[in-house]
Amino acid sequence: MALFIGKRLLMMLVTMFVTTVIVFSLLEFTPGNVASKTLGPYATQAQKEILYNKLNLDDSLVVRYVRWISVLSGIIKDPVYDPDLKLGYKDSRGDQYFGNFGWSLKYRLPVNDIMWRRLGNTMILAGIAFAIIVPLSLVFGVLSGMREGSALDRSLSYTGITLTSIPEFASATFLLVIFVLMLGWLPGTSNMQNFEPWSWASQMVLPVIVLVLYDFGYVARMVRGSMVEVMTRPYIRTAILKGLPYRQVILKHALRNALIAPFTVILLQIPFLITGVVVTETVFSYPGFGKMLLEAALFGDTALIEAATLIAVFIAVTTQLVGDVGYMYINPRIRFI
Amino acid sequence: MTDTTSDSAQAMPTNAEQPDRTGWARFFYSIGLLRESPAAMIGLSLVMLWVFIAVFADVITVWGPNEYDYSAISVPPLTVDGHWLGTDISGRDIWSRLAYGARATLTVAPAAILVCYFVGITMGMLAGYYGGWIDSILISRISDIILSFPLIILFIIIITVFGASALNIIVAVTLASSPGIGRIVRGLTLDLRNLEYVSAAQIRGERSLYIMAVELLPNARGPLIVDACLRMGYTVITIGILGFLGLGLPPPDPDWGGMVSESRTMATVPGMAYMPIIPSIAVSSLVIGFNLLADGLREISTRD
Repeated sequence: MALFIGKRLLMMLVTMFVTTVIVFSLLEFTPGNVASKTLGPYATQAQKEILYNKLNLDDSLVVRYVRWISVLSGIIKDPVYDPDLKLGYKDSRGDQYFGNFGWSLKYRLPVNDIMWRRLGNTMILAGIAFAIIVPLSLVFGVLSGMREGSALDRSLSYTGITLTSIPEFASATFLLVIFVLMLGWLPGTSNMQNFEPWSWASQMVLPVIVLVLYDFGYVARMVRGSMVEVMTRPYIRTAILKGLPYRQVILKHALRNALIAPFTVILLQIPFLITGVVVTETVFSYPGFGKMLLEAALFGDTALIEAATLIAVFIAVTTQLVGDVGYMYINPRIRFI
Repeated sequence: MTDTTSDSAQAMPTNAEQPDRTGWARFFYSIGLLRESPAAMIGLSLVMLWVFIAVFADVITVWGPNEYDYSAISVPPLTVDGHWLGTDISGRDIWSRLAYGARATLTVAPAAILVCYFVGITMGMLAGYYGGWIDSILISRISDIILSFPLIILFIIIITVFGASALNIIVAVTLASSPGIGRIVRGLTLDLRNLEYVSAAQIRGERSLYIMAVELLPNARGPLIVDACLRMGYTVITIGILGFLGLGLPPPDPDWGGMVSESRTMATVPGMAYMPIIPSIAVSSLVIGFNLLADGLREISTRD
């Protein structure tokens, strides 16, 4: 068990290393941009060259990557905070500490000042959505998988297909028209700053619904598929034939076995929600991680994109690890060496 | 997976009474089976409708997709002759933009799927057939890394770095989707690899490439066709999302996501909401079409 987890932790590190290398080389292949992005459009060529030389941007990609990792792990000082550069960058944590992601050009703040706050906002949004998706899809998935081909099963199946087919930007549009334009019940933006006419809760409703609608159908179908499979097993037939009440067959025999397979699927929804979050946050101007990432990418805010990618990949691989370990616990038939 | 067609399936003659069909006859017979599933027929008709619109975009539209009609700006649908779906805030004909948007989507999506499948099948076949280090290091490990990457970030980075173009959308979709296809193909190949006809071919002395292309691939096609259909739907969503985020086909050429994005502030303006609604319905209906079709195809393929 310990060996398995150790192996997976090593894999996690390898994955994160490879992804950061890929992202770093994609973004910083041409280092010339960094100097002109930092100084803005009005800088002269001479100013750019001075900065270019001071930041040693003509070093090879490998050297620059090693430098980025060293700054991140607090081994060396971040060169952009050097007062000689007169960039005016200031980080309240100092210029050398573990987890130093550098300076965000887009938000004119240290990455750590903006990223964690945005991640927190997204976790609230995704957390509420997740807390609705999981029980809802478990209930509907089990109910429709219990009696395959029943009216409930069929209607749920097609509802699921339809819901997963509607992209978030489309469902957001439909919801905006219905609840904001026609009914006037909810606000059209959720900027989470101004709570005057619309309360915090009312601003959360539409973004959460959009996330739930897109994801619910998929998870419910997974649960249904697993339930259908379990219901055909001999031990269910035995339980029914020996005269157990149907309710007890479902609750005691079917449910526990049927929930093993969807467990991983449900956990994998956490990285999947990141995708949904980018679109949803953009539609509703919600100040979250996804919107930040998109804005950073469109602006060319290299430090912030690299930091955000690292965090997103970390979340993704951690959920996979948790998924695999949890899977072993709930399924006694699986034991990794 | 059986649901809608299971009742009518029992009324069908059993397999033993059916004549052996090969090649195209079998293909058309399978398409014929779709008629039993109303949902699959709805899916097929939705897809065919959009294919028709995309193919004949220049015949069925009066205005060009980027043509401005300054005498009709922000005209709602069904009010002015010549713009039956209305015009957007700059006076461009929505029907025309929708039709040319369909053409763009239905060109990029199948192209992306073809490339994905070429890469994915190659990877999966190599991994499943040879096994060993080719499988564990070269293919499964790389796939794991790509699959653990939140896809949207991959798309955003690729497209912001290399610029928005149809080719880069295809590259991004290929990178994101081919590991998944590779996994499916690898699984199918592992199932088929030890069957007798594969051993027979090996003993005959056929080359590995021949075995993979002629013996293994055709026998793995059932699940792959269903998967391709599902992936078409998701690729249409992806293209829509990229367009919506401003990373899609470069403007002013229409794409559906971009149309929603341009007009999304109109969703809450009285009398203007048709502008984002129409392209939203378009993209949803096409994806629903692909997904219903995939569902119907899966029923057929699991039946025989």
